Amino acid sequence: MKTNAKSDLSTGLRSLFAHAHIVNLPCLGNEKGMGGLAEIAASMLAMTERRLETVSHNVANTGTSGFKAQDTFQNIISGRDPAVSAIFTGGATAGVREGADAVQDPLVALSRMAQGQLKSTGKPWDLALSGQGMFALRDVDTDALIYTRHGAFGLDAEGFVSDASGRRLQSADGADLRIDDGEAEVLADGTVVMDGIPYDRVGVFAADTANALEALGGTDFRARDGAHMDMMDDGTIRQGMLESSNVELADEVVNMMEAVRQAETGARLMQTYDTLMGQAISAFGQGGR
Amino acid sequence: MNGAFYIAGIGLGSQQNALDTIANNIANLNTQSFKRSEVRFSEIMASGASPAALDGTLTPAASGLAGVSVSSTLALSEQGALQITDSPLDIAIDGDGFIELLGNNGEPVLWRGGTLQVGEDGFLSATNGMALAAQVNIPEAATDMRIAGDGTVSIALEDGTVEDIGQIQLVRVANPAGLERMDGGIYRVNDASGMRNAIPGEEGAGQLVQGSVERSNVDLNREMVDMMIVQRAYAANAQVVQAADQMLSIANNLRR
Repeated sequence: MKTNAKSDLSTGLRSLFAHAHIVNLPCLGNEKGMGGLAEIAASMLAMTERRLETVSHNVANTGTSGFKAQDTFQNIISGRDPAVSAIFTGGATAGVREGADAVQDPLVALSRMAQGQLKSTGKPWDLALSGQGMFALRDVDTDALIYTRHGAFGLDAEGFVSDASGRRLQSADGADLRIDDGEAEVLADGTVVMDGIPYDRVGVFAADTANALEALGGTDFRARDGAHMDMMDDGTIRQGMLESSNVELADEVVNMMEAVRQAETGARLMQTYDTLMGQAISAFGQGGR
Repeated sequence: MNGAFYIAGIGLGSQQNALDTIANNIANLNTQSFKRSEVRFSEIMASGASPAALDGTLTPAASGLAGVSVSSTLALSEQGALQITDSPLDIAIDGDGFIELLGNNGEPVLWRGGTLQVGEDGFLSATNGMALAAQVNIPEAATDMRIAGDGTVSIALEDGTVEDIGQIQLVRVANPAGLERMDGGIYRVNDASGMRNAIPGEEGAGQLVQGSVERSNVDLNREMVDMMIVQRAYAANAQVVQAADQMLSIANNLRR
């Protein structure tokens, strides 16, 4: 006696594939085969893991000054053309990795560049930027330029203004900023005044194109190849203040809950696939008699 | 899932360290000449401080996020309030600088002032017995001792004459990170490159005030606010640990 197991099974699979579009991923593998479904589920679980990692990093850095929170979301467009992605992801972005391919990297991490709250510390070499612009730091060993909003500097043994890792603050002319002994006052436009005489100027840099900066985490940024960072005339520096982290805890908790639910969906998908496969094997097994 | 677990774990540890620093500050609310420690957070990335490691060799899936690190720096530039005690052996510094003492092994040790004492051999020393580097010797015949604002130590003898016997200079430190806090209000110098001698009152150094002690520079309001912030941050990191745990349990329960 023939059963209708086969037609039930294929109907079930077709409806499952029809629902797969809600996960917003291209259907990997052969649509007629069933391997694609398992890969979708595995990919979803891996993605939610990455999302939670980013949320975790944001939450761990709620107190880090100059930290810019990162958001992750799926790269709907295949991502092979960053300019196209930029249209859909809202224009000026920092953090989109070049050449991100949807198949290998469906997740995009964007930095939220909102201004953080300025808090007063009273230290002479704590600088905060109010508005656009970034400080430029030069790594002494590799000569690479890092851009950051984290303004907690100090004087090192040779008198160079540098951050906690020893990277030197760049002046407006693109050279290391060095201060001789004495009280230095930093004016709003970056001019360093010593004993009433203008001595040097702290560099505040900005790019003229969107998407020029690539995030190396939350505090450090790098200019992409071909992007130019120019000295800004109207940057505002506040001496004795630090810019707080711009992480919003409420947003992070919501992202966290969303990631967990998405993981549950991926798990449910996997389990359904598993059940159907089990039915297929047992149905065909019986039908062979 | 492991990434989020470890990052949140590091976050919890950092907030705990921050709370330890705040607790130490509050515990020393009334300690003479205490300088509070300030908590600083900075992000950690798997690739370290240099971006060079990111070129080409890592696959796009590696995110490189690694959490946060916490460090505490001394807030040396904040002056504590001066409390008048009228005791001639009490000395405070009004402004920048430290008094240098001779440490146990001859190493330079810095002191922010407090109560002086005259040792058995007549040398002026701090409360913990370490002599001043200025090597000021008070003769037995002295009836009174005066320390001027610029550090000049003078004594009065029985017959009324006043004699200058030495000068206490101050040491200015450019980088607070080079100092290490030790027992009893003294600081050991780990990085001597930023130290500069100065006469009190000149070159930005503070003045010596005899007959006063400097109170702790801990501001209770600020510490309380910081403590509340740290508490909330700790709870948020704990939430992330729970979420990561939930995800792992989802993965574990895939196969019924």
